Amino acid sequence: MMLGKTPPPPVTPDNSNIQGLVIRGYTHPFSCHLMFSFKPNGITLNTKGFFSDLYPKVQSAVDWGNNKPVSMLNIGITFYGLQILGVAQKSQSTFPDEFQQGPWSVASQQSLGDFNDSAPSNWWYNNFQNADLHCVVHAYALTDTALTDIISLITTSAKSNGLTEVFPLKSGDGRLYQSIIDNNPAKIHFGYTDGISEPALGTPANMASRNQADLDNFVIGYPDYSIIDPAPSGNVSTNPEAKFAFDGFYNAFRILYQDVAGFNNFLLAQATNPTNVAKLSYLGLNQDELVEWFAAKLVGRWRNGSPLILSPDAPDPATAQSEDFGYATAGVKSPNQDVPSSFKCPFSAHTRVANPRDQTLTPGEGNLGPVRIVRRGISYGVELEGNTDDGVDRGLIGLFLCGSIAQQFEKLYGWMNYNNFSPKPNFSVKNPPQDALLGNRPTSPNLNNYPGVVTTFTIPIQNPATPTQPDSIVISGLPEFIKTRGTAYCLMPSLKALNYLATGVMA
Amino acid sequence: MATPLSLYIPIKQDAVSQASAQKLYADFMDIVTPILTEIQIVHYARLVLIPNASKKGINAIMLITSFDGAMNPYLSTFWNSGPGFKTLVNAIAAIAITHPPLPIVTLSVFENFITSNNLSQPNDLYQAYTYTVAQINSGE
Ligand code: HEM
Repeated sequence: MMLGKTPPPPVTPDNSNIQGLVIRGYTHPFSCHLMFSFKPNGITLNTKGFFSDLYPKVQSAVDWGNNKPVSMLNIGITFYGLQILGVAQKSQSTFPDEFQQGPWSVASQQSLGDFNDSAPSNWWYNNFQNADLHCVVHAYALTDTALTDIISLITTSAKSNGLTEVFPLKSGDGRLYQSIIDNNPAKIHFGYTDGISEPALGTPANMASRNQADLDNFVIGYPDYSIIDPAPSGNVSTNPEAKFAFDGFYNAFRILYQDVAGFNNFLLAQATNPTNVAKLSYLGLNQDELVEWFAAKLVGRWRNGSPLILSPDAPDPATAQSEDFGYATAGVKSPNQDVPSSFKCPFSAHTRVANPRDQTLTPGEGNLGPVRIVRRGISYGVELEGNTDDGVDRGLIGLFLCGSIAQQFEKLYGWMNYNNFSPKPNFSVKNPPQDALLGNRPTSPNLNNYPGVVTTFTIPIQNPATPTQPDSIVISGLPEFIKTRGTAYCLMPSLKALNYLATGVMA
Repeated sequence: MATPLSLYIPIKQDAVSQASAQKLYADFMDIVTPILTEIQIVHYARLVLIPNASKKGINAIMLITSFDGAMNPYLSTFWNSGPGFKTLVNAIAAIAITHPPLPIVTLSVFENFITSNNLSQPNDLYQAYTYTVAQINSGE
């Protein structure tokens, strides 16, 4: 929000100028996420040629109605990429600091906490330097053939215009292809349904109704009512960076390996642990059902999508897509003493950390509720059969879309690594736990990388037969289920800005 | 996890700027106490006037603090704390030798101003304890 001005009425952005990803999740079953460096490949670099070849396929946020594109793409550019393109200033840039510095910077790593195998020095299998990644092209298609065609268009253009393709993986041809798990595009490798909960992306009616889920917190150039104030949002007539960035948004592009065998075996170990089995006997669940129970407690939703708050005892098809719920329990004297809600959903369950909804936050978090992000991730790597690791690389192609990478993506990452964003007594214990699903754990040789953090996951339980004696399952030494393969911070420019890169003329 | 911030801002040598620096120093506690008490993430904050080598006049303003959370996401907490903080930042920037166009009205310009003048790295901090201010205040 600007300082000391009465803002004009709220404005809704023009969908034809915004890359489509932020407004809607694509359901194309085939996609490939290609990465390029503007480091010349032996012939003179001609980025204009590259962008003009790709521009006609760029999908805007305009509703395609019944004409779902057979293939289409969206484009992201890193800060170094923007510098090479002559868009970002060499010094005194007004782009946000974290975007300038990159996700491997010490400042971003304070929140992201990538250590050991996940460390930035190991990203992308060292196939290329972090700073040499300049452009990511997200290509989507309805058929395998259409995907092959659009990849060919992109890579042929890149080659002939002097760009160098860089490869994030070491398996297959090194590219990131989407894979469909269990014939269900909504499923991810750990077997959960994903992509249910997303911000509404509305327009505020007035100052009082501003909301973290509003579109002006995600798209650059609408600062008047924005809580986040995506940057650079200054005067477009005096700041060329702001002019270029207008109607753009950011993508924290993060590739996360998922240890599926480790995860399955962890669930099985919990479901067969004699202490756990004895404590949970009142539930009357068999071993498979107990596995599902633990899986739900880690995430806060059953694998079918049902939120634990609405369906605490079993998954329910009727709540599988439910979005409308909170964590605060009505009638509890102080939200700080909201133990009842934790009997349904543990405080450190992934979805409760990544969006604590109406849960009370610490004073430093302000009073406008938790920040939100738009998730457009999909899986890569073939499904694991059975519970023995086959050495195959698989995980999440994470597209975390934001107006401010620092205030939204990095803030939530900080919360996941340190669950201390809600007041005492239950959440912000002296030694904060971590998100049950995500995060590097403070393991040797980096025991002190998260000062004060514990790797204990507490699942409060209450046997109805003994209502005055609440109990808990305490899992110590939570393993690392996820490893970071690499991260890039990209600006997803507006269509006008992409057209400028293609023609040299800004409309 | 707390983050150290050592904001080092060389200031102009004219009489008005020098007097402003003295006034900022004198008023600092009154300005920041209500703000920092409200947001509950700052462990301590000090404003120091660094003298010129000649011992005459002030060379720079230095703001030394440590606060909970990482720098990138939590600078906005200060900025959003209200007009008092924005006025303070603008008063400091007004006497700085190098500063962005004034007034500073957007969060990102504020953030870039702070990070470009910060002499500390996240790991440059010894901490005897890992508690947050909110935890300490709640007597946990
Ligand atoms: C491989 C890594 C990850 C896995 C397996 C995973 C899994 C899930 C699942 C199963 C859900 C529930 C489905 C839904 O609500 O749509 C979910 C929700 C969510 N995840 Fe993740 N996630 C991962 C990484 C991340 C990361 C890195 C972030 C943030 C930076 C994140 C933020 C969220 C958010 C914000 C929600 C929605 C919560 C809500 O609004 O209730 N996730 N995730």
